Amino acid sequence: MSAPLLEASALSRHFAVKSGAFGAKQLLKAVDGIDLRLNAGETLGLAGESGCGKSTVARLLMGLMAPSTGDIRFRGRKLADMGRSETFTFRKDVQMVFQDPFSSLNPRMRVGDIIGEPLTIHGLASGTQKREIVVNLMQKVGLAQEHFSRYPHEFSGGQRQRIGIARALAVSPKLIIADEPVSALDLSIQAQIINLLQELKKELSLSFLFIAHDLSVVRHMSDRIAIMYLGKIVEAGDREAVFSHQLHPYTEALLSAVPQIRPEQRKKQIILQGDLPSPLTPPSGCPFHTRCPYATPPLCTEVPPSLEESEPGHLSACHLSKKLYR
Amino acid sequence: MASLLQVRELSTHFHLDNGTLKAVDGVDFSLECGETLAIVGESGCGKSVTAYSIMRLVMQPGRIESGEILFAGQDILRLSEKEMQTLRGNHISMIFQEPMTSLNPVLTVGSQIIEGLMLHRRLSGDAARTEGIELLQQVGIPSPATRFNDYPHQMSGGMRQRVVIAMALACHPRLLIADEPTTALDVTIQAQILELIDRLKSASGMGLILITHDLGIVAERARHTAIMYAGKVVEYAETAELFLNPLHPYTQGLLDSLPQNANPGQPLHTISGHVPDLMADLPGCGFCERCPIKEWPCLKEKPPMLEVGTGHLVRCWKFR
Repeated sequence: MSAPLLEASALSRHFAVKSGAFGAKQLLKAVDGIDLRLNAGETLGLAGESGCGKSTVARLLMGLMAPSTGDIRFRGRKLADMGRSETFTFRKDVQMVFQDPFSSLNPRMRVGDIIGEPLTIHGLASGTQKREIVVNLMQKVGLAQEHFSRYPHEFSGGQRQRIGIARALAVSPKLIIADEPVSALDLSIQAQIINLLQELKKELSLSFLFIAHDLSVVRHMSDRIAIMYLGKIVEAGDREAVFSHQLHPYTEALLSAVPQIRPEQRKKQIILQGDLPSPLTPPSGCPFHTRCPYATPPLCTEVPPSLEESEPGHLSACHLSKKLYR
Repeated sequence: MASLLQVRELSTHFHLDNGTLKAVDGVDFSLECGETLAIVGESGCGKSVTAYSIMRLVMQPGRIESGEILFAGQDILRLSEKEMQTLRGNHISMIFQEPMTSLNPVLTVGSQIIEGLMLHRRLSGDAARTEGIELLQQVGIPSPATRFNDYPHQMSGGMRQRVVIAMALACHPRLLIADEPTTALDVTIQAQILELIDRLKSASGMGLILITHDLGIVAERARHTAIMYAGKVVEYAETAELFLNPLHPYTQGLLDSLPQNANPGQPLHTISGHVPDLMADLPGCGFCERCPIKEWPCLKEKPPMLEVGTGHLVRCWKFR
């Protein structure tokens, strides 16, 4: 088997947080020992509720933040071992599309300059050649040529997201990390952007890390899915496996909470009690035991479960998964 | 018997420097006690302005131009501001989208809950406090007596939304308007909040207007649904009927564009184009530029609301 495009092992990122002026330092484990693997041409969906650490994972994988522990390998090379020029190439190969189409574009730059800037930085094109590439890109993402010298504020949310996508594509990346790329958009616009991302993926044989909290969008986009809870991956597997038979009570509750349009798709709702525990004081044992309807002490409250392959290619971090889901 | 709420030909316009923006343009619907009406649409379709109009909270340069809003038979557009104040927060309550901005950050949640109790129900401080703690208990806040003295920033988003709900329900309103009550929340918390609103609704028999853009929530929670587009209700029906048999091309487009209704990985249906400029005076149907049908009358004349089947209304020339 060929080496995966991107691989993270035992990846953690901890933040030291002070509570109050004289408070003691506490450790916030935003990402706590996760393993991820992304093959070329694949879309990996990362889902979870706010505060579960999915955006921190994106920043770590982009190399925008150094991990506290663990390694990230891109095409087999460790990120930490890369020299200056290698890092520079890595930054070209991995591009990001952001959630908020309003704050992720410089309001004082023209659209053409925004899309062309990465080309200049990486020394790939200049002058008329650059302009040509940019116009091509704009066409590809569904913007008109007249938009070249307009400013971001003249565009709607959906069109701005197209600008952000064109900018990410400018340097012909291998991998695109998309952090909630459609959650700020209206329904009919959301469908347009999802289609655009799918077409581009096929046409340019891109790989995607697709981060979203909307599970129906994640399902639509991804080949494989990882579900995060309090900085840990609790379940991972092929899209259909995860959606058709969950092996973790959190995934089960999460999926049952998604309001369904068709009555036949409605599952019995599992209403979780309480809120997400504070990541500053994570529960002992299984992080989910405070809200889990099946938690059985002392096993679940004291022993942290590890992520294990319960079925071929389908991983779950639950002591009870064998008993609950057979 | 009169309906709990009847909105007739409501128009709310915003008079801006460069013209008039018709945010709500002739909206009709009604709501019975104990029922839920969902108002659905994309941003800018006028669903929130409709809610603010019912509360009579439309701010300058907006103005309610015409129409009637009958609450238990009484036209609230004819009430004085003082009479409106006794109604607002007392008989008609509203839950806003963002639970952080609808709470005062420098007052404890307790003092914000008892404000309405003391003002509208003339309770003394102690009695209001007891009732306030009881309300917090009802909306499922653990250790309510301690939480009563918390400031909003000490609570999570879900907790804050519970406080907002407790405030809205403090005076046992007969009508509750919930404007995107769960949009800022995670799905598992959303499920808790919607379940809570439903439970409190069936306990008190109040009417509920649920404003949302999430069609899944609508399908699961609302008896009737009104779909809004460009300031108008374009389709109105019982929710089950609407999802089974959507008639308006916009409703059909919305339902088709959902990832839930497509096979994973397959292209989604899209509605081309975008929402029309509400400042422009469109002669024809507001949707015609994006509509797959558009025939002769569509561009020239505004379609009337037509009844197709019992209680299923649609604003489209196709059903003439």
